[in-house]
Amino acid sequence: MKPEIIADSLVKRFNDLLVLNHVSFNVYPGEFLCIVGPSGCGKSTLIRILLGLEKPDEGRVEIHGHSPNPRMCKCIGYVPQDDALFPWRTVLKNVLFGLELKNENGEKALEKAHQTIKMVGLSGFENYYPHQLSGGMRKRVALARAVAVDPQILLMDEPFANIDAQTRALLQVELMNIWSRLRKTVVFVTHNVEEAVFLADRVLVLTKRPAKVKAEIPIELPRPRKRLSPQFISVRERIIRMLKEEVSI
Amino acid sequence: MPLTSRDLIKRSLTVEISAILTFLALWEAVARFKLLPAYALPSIEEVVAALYSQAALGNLTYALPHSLLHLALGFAAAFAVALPLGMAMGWYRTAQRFFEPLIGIFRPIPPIAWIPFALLFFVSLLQASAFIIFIGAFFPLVTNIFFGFRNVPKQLAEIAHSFGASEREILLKVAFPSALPSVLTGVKVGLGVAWMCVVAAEMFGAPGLGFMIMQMRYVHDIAGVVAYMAVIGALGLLLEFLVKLLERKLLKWKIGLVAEGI
Ligand SMILES: Nc1ncnc2c1ncn2[C@@H]1O[C@H](COP(=O)(O)OP(=O)(O)OP(=O)(O)O)[C@@H](O)[C@H]1O
Ligand SMILES: [Mg+2]
Repeated sequence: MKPEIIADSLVKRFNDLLVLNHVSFNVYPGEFLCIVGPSGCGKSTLIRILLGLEKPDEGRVEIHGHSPNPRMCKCIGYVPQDDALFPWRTVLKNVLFGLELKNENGEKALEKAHQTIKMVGLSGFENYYPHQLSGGMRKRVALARAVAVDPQILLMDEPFANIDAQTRALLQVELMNIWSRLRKTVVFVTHNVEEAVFLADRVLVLTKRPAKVKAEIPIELPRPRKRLSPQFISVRERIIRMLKEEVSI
Repeated sequence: MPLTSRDLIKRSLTVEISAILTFLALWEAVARFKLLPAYALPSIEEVVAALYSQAALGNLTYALPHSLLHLALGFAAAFAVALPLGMAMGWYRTAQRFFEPLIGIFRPIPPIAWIPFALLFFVSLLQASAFIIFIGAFFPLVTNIFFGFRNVPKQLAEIAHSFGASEREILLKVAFPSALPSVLTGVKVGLGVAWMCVVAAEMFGAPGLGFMIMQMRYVHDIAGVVAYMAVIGALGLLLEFLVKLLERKLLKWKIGLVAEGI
């Protein structure tokens, strides 16, 4: 199968700070890839390079066979680490943003937006402004905004940080539903190893900065996954041990 | 509780009104007890009488619309130039580098210094007056609009970019709403300065409130001078109030975002 996203030997420096040190990986159509790594190792930078928001110093990115460009962006949904909601738009208008850009207006767009808002559990908050929401609610709006345009690829940078464990588990299940129903390709950055093991087809473990790929761990557990099953716990512990090596040195 | 525009109208203006009453009481005390000579400070009563007679003579009702016309023309022209210019300067670094030195040179020149030039350049007094007001309004407008477009949060532009927005769409859907608070600050300050320039703009003969102040001065009618000053002040207050209403309406989302003492 041809990869949908190719990251080939990416090197990124900020002034003298080497952040990415030849990072390579592929993401295949319909695959759910999780990226874990110590804080500050360059995960957000990696996502930004995939989007074309940051240029790599060496190496290249290919998405659908092209380097990142605005046209290809039309098929990518991006959930940034800071929610980056438009403060002058209500929840509903934030979710409608991408649809407006695709010239989808009127009843149908509105219905789609309401449906997505309901999916992230924010019904009743449509007319709130971002600053009237909690941190976790804002994250969910950012998720809804990205998903509403029905993108083929979802790039998510810690979308569920700051959300309580119960809501988080619900959102994970909901994301699994969207993903398995619509077969999206997902790249998902998280600090939460359990989350990664619950969601991913494959977990990419990065070293501390400058980041290299430390390991690629396929998760072959059947879905829906049981967090308390021995296999689940054993993969989880393995990844946690790997991360500990990176932090303790 | 944050205030909406309706609240702002409905709210009892106790504090605001007592401020004005305090000022009037002080004025009356100074005049009544002759702390300043009568030819230098007329009493409130004399000013009201002067205002009344100016209205009765038709001078006030003639001058007022003329001044408002000068203001409207000058301000509209300033806004029409400042908006695209400030936008370009805020969004494109080269435009900023090109126009910043030019603005730096022209800004320190007070509107009043432009009068000889205005009279040479424009045929009608109306245009010349509007031009003086234009000068007054232009710089606060362009500075604030520039500031607004310079400070559009990068993450927000990036979100639009990630949705495949064109540059035009980013300007329209991200930069403009993000800069709007600054634009409105520019309007508020610019309108205030423009109104301050109305006397300068009518010093050379164009009819209006400023012209009437000069006339009153020639005939040594200090109460008349103060009467027109009071009209200018009151109208300035009203203009500011109207812009504040507009601000409340357009920036509803900002309500509750700014700190406020208790
Ligand atoms: N624009 C920038 N200019 C300079 N340095 C930057 C810039 N962006 C990121 N960095 C640096 O690059 C490194 C990686 O940052 P990045 O945000 O990618 O980390 P991260 O893995 O996402 O961390 P976290 O898990 O805490 O979100 C950090 O050391 C950061 O200081
Ligand atoms: Mg990050």
